[in-house]
Amino acid sequence: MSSAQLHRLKEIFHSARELRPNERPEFLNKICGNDTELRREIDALLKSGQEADGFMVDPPAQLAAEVFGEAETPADTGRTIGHYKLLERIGSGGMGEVYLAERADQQFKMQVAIKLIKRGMDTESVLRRFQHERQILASLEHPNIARLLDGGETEDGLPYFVMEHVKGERIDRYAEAKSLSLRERLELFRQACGAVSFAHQHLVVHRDLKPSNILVTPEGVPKLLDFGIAKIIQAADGAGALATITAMPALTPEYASPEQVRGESMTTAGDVYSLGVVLYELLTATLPYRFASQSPHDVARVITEQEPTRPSTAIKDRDSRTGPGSPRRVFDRTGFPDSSDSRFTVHFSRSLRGDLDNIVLMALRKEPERRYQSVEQFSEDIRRHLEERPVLARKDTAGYRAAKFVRRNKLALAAAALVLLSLIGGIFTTSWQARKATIQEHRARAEQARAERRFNDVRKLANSVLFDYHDAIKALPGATKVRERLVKDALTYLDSLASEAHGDPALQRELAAAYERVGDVRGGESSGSLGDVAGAVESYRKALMIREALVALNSDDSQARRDLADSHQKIGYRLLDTGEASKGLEHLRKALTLYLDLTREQPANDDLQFELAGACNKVGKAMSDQGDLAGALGQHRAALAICEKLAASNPLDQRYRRALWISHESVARALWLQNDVAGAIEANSKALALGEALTADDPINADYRRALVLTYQNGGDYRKKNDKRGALEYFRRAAALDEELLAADPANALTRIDLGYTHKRIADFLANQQDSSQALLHFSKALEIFEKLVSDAPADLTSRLRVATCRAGVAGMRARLGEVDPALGDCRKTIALLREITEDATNPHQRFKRAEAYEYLGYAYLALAASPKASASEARERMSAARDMFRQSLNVLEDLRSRGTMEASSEAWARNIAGEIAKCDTALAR
Amino acid sequence: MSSSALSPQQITDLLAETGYWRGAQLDEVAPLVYEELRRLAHSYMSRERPDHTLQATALVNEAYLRLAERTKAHWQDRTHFFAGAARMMRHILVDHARRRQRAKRGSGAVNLELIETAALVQEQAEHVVDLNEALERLAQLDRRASQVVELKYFGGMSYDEIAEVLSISGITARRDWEFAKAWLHKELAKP
Repeated sequence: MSSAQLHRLKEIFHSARELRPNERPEFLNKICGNDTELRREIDALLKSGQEADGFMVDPPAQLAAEVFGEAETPADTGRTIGHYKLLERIGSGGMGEVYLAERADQQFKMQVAIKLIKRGMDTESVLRRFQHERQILASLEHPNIARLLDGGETEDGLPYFVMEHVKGERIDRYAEAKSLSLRERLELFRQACGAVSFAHQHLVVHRDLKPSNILVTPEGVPKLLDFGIAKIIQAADGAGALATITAMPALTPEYASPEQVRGESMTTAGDVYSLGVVLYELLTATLPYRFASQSPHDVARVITEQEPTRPSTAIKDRDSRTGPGSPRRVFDRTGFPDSSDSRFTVHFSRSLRGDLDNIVLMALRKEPERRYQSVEQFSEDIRRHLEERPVLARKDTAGYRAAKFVRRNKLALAAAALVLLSLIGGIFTTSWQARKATIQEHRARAEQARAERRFNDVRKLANSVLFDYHDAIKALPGATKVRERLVKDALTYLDSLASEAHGDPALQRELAAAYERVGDVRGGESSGSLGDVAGAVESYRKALMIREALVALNSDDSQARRDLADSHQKIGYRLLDTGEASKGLEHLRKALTLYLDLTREQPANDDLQFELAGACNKVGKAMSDQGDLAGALGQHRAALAICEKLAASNPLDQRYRRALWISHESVARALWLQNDVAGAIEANSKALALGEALTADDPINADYRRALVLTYQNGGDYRKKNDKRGALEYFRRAAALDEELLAADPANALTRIDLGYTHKRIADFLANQQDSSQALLHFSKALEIFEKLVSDAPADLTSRLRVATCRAGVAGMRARLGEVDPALGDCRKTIALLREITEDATNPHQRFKRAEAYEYLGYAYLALAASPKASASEARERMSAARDMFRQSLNVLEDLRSRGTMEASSEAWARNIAGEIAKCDTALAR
Repeated sequence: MSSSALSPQQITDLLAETGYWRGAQLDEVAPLVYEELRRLAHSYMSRERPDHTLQATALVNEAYLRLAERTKAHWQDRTHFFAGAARMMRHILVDHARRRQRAKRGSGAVNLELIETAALVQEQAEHVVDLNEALERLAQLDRRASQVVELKYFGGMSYDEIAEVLSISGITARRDWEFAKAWLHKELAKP
């Protein structure tokens, strides 16, 4: 048959197949005519086509398995090469094989390692590469690098070389077997760094650093092996052609740097990275990443995209993952103390937290230029850590960069915003690509990959974008604006994922963490929030729901219970300022119960004790808000006792020092509310001493400054009654601190609230001193601040009541100063505002503000009634209004008293107002 | 049998011949790809998967993922990579099947425990050798149709991917496949 005949056959075949079977004979009769040969061919072909359904459907799988899966090349054991006899094969790579051998012609038996090219692999490029490795080894004589001893050609003309045979264990297994301490591990690692650094100085990049290439001899000397894919940095002495071999495989992707897995050319920074992974593994017995599968594609993606978990967290996570009954594979292998005693994990974790976390993460940064400049610098930083000197490594990656922007100038904030948006953009791009990929990949596999990608995206969002940025920036003034946009984008993304997260606890955990972070940014209690309380609660609730489900799934998971407690606290604390304070207290009590259970189970866990103290303080504050003063004091004292213990046993830990400070101040406030002024001042002085010391240690920490402001404010409050000059001094110090903070970060809601309060307190004080014009100034400042807050967050009832109070104050001062019409205007506005607001009747916090606002209005009308310009009827009218206002104020207080939520110190206040009402009645009776 | 069932030079020549791959340094890439296919197969086998099946096409996919970045200078795009790998897969399998048949004729011994698998493998080996011969005959008459078979059967490629590699339409690729399948089936059915 000719080609032309075949093509004619093909045409007829297709045409016939397009017809119905009963139409075919007629068509074929017509087209074939008398050509019986053709007719026979086409009939056979059509028949064959019908029978061929199962033909060539499956590839010859078993055959492929056989051809590819068959045994390795039989070893050349026993063969003699040069002066050496091959004993056994000890390694096999893509191109070469390594044999243990001994010198056959000498009296003493020296064992060596001989590297040969695999048969059949002797292409020109492989030969070139092999020679290259030999040349590199020859140039590297170092006590921590396996030495090149000899080299030559086999009878078949293939090159080989002879190396020092290192009898040792992989560095990680060695550390495990010897149960090395943290310090010993670091010192051992530094020796290995010395070898790599030496290679770098000789312009050689190793490119395949991993534990199995760093062996430790029984004498404890680490030796660097396998320069098989090493590269000479600069093309010198004829090695120029080698520069093209950047396409060499990364043999061990888990240790490969992002640039290496991307196939970019490798520099010394890649070795810094790989050493970082080795150190990570030495310290935590885990790899820095969670791989979805061992498929190279997944591994590569994880390395280039996923943020590594902090070593101190990794070690804790690993502990909580390896619950009873589950195999503690990694832990037991490493010689770390038994994880069933969480004290050791906590201890190890604490040793890693801080410097070592930062050092390891600096080596693991995605961008080569942001890692240590050299292996030597890396190693030196470890030395500095061992000598307890300050290290070069700084916390955070992206966040650190942003922080530097922010510090440089305010314009750079725009740049930081761009960095953030591009990160978010990156997340959306990957998920879009993931969707695109599903079409191409096998479905089940793609589904898994997609789930993993989602996990990574959320993790990246939560870890990198929210955690790192937020943590790095939050202590810095000026970053609030940047995060508003971030919150919006982050929520859109998280909501879209939440609906798909069922059945994937790991993803759910990450989602909950991300929601919580978003909540923090929107309106968390810590400094730097955007002040959107309702928004924060909404996000916290989402996290809470996810976490409740997770705890229900596994009630033994202590981390899940801690996370749940955290959610309860966040919601509870935020609700205290809304109309749902009693609900808030419920949440806080749930958190407290969870922590009590946890500390009972793990009494030696300082972290848990710390959380328990926090939980006590929060419940205490809520109880106090709801009028249970004795209960509140009990909670604060319990917290104080815990914190004193924690701070005593960890004197350098800033968290414990801060907690101790806050506990003292909470006790002070609780005492003051119970009219124990002397006790309050004493506790406040202790708190101030702690706060000032801590702020001096970390002067740019905005959180400490804010807490210090509050401590000063309270100090002023406690002194108001008996030490007026002292009180004013405390208020002024608070205001000065606030002004500084606000100048640096004008959008910060909490600082604004603080400053508003401080001005109001000063105004109150000055009004009492009859300094009306100065008092007016401070009331006006406070009013301006609170009005801005209300316009930013209209749902914030407390701030709206603050506006009412301050405007009433302004009215009163204007009235005193004879500015009758403006004062009347302010009074009317205030009354209208108070009518608009419906606060929670059980929230004394807000109710007192209402009482105060009416009281101020009463005084304002009194002053207006006393105005010399007022006619008799005007005076009478205003006096009547004043009485109304005082009456409203007293109504609120009496209501609180009837509910049992009135502070003792407020009784005097109520009596005073009752007195004013009586005076008005007398005046009106005239 | 050693891992050099195909010599690097043979592999290189194969790839050069297809025109799917390009570049003067194919000799660097060819052993990489071959070694990669072999390594993957080995790891599949040693994973002790209950079914023990091994899809040649799945292998090619894995090989692609591993090698994509490192060898991309040598082929236009993903589909051309697959095309080259399909060619290699075909020759590796055929070569192995032939050696197997020779060895069997020599020894005649069959391990009883493996008899079932062996029978299946033997069947596949014969099939692949016969198919290859028929495919070579087809190539003489209709080169494009034979290429379609090679890409689809040995490379596991879709019609669209085949269409891209051969610069034809997806419909043409499908029609070529159907025709070639009928033709090859008829050829193999000949006594």
